[in-house]
Amino acid sequence: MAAIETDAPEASAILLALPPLLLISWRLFSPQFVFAPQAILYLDAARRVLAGEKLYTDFWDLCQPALLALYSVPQWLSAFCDLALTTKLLVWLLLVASLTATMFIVRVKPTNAVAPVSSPALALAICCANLAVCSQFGTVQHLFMLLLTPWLVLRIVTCEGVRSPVHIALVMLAAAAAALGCALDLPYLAVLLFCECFLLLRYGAIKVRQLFIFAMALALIFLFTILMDISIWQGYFQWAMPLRLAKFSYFDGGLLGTTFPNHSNFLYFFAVVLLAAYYSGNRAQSSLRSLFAVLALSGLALFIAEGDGLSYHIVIAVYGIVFLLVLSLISLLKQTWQTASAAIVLPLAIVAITAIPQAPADLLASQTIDNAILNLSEEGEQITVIAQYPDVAYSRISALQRLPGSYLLNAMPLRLLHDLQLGQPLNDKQFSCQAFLVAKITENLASRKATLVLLEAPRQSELLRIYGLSKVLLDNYSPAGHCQAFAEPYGTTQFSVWRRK
Amino acid sequence: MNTTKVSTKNNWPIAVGILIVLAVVFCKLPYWFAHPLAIHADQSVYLAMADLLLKGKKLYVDIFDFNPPLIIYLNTIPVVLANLINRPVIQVFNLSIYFLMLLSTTLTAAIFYANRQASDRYLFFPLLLAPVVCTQTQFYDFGQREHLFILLYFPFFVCRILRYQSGNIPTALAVTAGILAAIGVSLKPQFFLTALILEASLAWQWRSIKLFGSVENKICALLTAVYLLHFVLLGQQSLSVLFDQAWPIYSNGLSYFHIGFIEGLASLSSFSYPYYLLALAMSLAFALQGRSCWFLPATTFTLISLLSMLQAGSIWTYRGIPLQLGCLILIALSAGVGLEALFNYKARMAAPTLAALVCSAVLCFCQVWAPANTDYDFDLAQIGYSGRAPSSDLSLLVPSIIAHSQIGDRVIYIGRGVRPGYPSILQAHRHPGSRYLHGMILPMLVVCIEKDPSRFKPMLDLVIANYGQDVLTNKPKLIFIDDIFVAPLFAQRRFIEKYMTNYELIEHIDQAACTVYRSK
Repeated sequence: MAAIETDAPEASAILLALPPLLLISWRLFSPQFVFAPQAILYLDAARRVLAGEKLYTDFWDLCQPALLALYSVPQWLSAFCDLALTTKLLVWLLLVASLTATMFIVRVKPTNAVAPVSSPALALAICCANLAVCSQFGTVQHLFMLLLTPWLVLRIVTCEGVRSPVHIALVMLAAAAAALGCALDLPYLAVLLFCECFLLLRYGAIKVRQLFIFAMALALIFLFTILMDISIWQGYFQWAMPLRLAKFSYFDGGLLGTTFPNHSNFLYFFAVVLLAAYYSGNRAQSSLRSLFAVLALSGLALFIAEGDGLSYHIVIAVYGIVFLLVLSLISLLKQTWQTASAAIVLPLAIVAITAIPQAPADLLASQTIDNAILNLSEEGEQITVIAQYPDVAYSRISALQRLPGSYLLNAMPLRLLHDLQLGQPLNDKQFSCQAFLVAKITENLASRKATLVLLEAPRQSELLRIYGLSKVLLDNYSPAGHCQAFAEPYGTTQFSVWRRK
Repeated sequence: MNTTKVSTKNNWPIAVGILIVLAVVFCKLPYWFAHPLAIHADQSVYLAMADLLLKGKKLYVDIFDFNPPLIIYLNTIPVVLANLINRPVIQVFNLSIYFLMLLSTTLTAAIFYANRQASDRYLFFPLLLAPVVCTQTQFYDFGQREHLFILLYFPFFVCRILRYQSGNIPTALAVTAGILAAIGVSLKPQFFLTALILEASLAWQWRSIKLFGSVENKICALLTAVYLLHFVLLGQQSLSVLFDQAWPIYSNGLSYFHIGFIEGLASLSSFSYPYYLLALAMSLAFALQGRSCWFLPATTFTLISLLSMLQAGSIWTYRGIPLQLGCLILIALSAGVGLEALFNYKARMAAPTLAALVCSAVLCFCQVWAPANTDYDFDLAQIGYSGRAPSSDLSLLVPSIIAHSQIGDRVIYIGRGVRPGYPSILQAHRHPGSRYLHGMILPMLVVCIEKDPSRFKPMLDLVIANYGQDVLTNKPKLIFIDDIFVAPLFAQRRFIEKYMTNYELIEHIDQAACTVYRSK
């Protein structure tokens, strides 16, 4: 493949990365592009933070404080222009920064004869991996991958042993980005450590200096968020973190009978790519491929541990496996197809392979949530969502220029505490958390700030009844029918609509 | 194969290795003695089918099933033994599987012993543990066809890799491995396919097809061919049912048992277990890629098994057993590489090696350890044997069967699946009263009818008529009918009025959602 073997690898990298990068940009900046519901949920939470509300006091979620700090950036910039545009710009800039930093990292010449990876191949792999997760842009796992990629490449380049070490500024930048990525959610540090274990086993040694810089960056982020408001961390450690951990061993009986999305086809693809990657190339040539295989496997384990099958929980696995696929294909083509045309065919093939199927049109057309919101509320009014899988509701509320006013962004903790209680008595922390949440939801509903309440039916209605919250709802709101939205994991999520009396 | 002289001064690692293997092999033996009635649905139904076969019933005509018959033939061994020593067939079956594990381990150990001077001998002890640990972690799926496959195939797997490494494989061992593998791969078509792909992988890895003709391959191929040829001896009637009914219904109606991936995640912790194991094992395989030529075939086996499990598309956890073995082989290989590094005093590898070994030891311990149920509150005299068993091992219908029938009576359960009819009928020491030992055919036919009514509707009528005919002919003492799915289906065809006039309704079992009828 001539383009890859040219004497000017940077030029080749640009040539190869350009088609998928342009496609990503075209998709991202097209007016039809809508961010994944999870991104919209956290963007709105960040809006509330910027408006002076406090996590765990004015609203509640299992997310990490650092996550909201990151989502606050586009929200803050939205004072100058449209929020969607600032968010798109932020994601795009993160992608380009990730790509550029990685290119700079692999510019150093390896001392050994076999380079860990060529920069054109790497550029193409990063762009194609991003293209594959295009529908999940802006979700937490996607941001994590953008922040982690330069660090992983840096670690491989370092472990392979380079004559001229990577510039310290670049190391610090990559470490800071990786640390920020790990601060986004609890299990991400485990993903990084899993990858570090791989390096330890493969190379029999670790580069302590880089890890020290990473640890310092992580500590600084931690310190920074503590200094911002220590009470948030108290809430996090006392309530949110134990519940987040408990969620990994929780089986949601409500998912029985759900069929969407069916990730079996992805798993076939996953297995075949792993097999092909293992067969293609020898040990010396495949270090980066192996690292991304390990990343994909840890992403798969994380997806399984989340236990709900949601598409935004499989982003790491998809990103890792497409990265692996591209590098393996390039390796194969380099051996068998020595023509420049491969440089054109390959990106096109990847684009075809990674095309993400969209929701069936008939199901999207069956959504009635928009009508309920439009007919029963005005622009700028608040809407409370009480749902275990609320993302789609936030997405529609945001698109229709209303404001979410829920205390509990996601009702999962309430369900989790209830189900834990069925097995054994709650401990003191869990009990106080449960009582606090119930009191706050009661207060939220009694305040009648929200014009509408969207209550996921029938499971959350049942949960409200169990917790004795039905009365406060009935006292302040009157039933106004039902609506539905196409969403994971039920396929069709039903909401009962309540209007302020 | 590179060989190096083994130091005779350093025999302690071998002694420790043997002790560990023996401990892991025998640690669960008391459990199976203490649980003479512990068995699950599929395994028990094949024991009942084997019993019918020994009584002269014709396969597929008098004993209906969707699977190839080899599993029924194999199950005749514990049935004959149980009759000889007058012990519960379930206990004899479990101990037979245990014996098979011993046979497989001994054969593998003998093959390893013949290659004890190989350069990668440090892999041998951990490898020996892989199928043992896999066996010891099985409860629900102990003795399933996938479990038998891994036990029967593993010595062959080892034998083939050592053969390509130019190892020393004594002919007797190769022949035995070939015989066992032939039985294993003949159990299901996908096992044969797995073995075939693995063979191709080995040829690709060593860039040679010369070893296709090795003695173990010849034996395996010959016996598999003989098994395939034996189908012509089954008789026209059996083949007609197999090819014209069983397999068309299976291929068109199996989707009834398919579930979504998310539902699997939400239903069972054991559904997620192979995926966690896969993530760990494949990560190790990538980390240690190239350290041993065993990694490539083990990875191939693992990922082909993953594809096979995905293809099943159900929450039948036994489909994941080959994947579990593949993962355990990869973990064992990693531990072996660590051992090698440790004994070669490569200081830089010492720390990670020790960490890996400790982790592996903890993992093994966690995997094989299982508390035995000590509440022995069921007197086996109720089913014609001496001794006691934990009642927690008994299936839902056993109390009702024991209360309303005698040992040796015929009983029919007509439901949507194998459970809870089996293992209840076998645990109660009763006999099947119909050619349909399980009712899987009914919902599958309903799915088939949605696809092709003209072809499958007459089959459904025939199956229900066969059930009726069996009731009239065999005069079972008890008939359990599933309330949710079967009762409405039978009511449409006036089954009770036509065939069960001599029966009275005696009880509803809410937990099993079925109604019990007893002959007057």
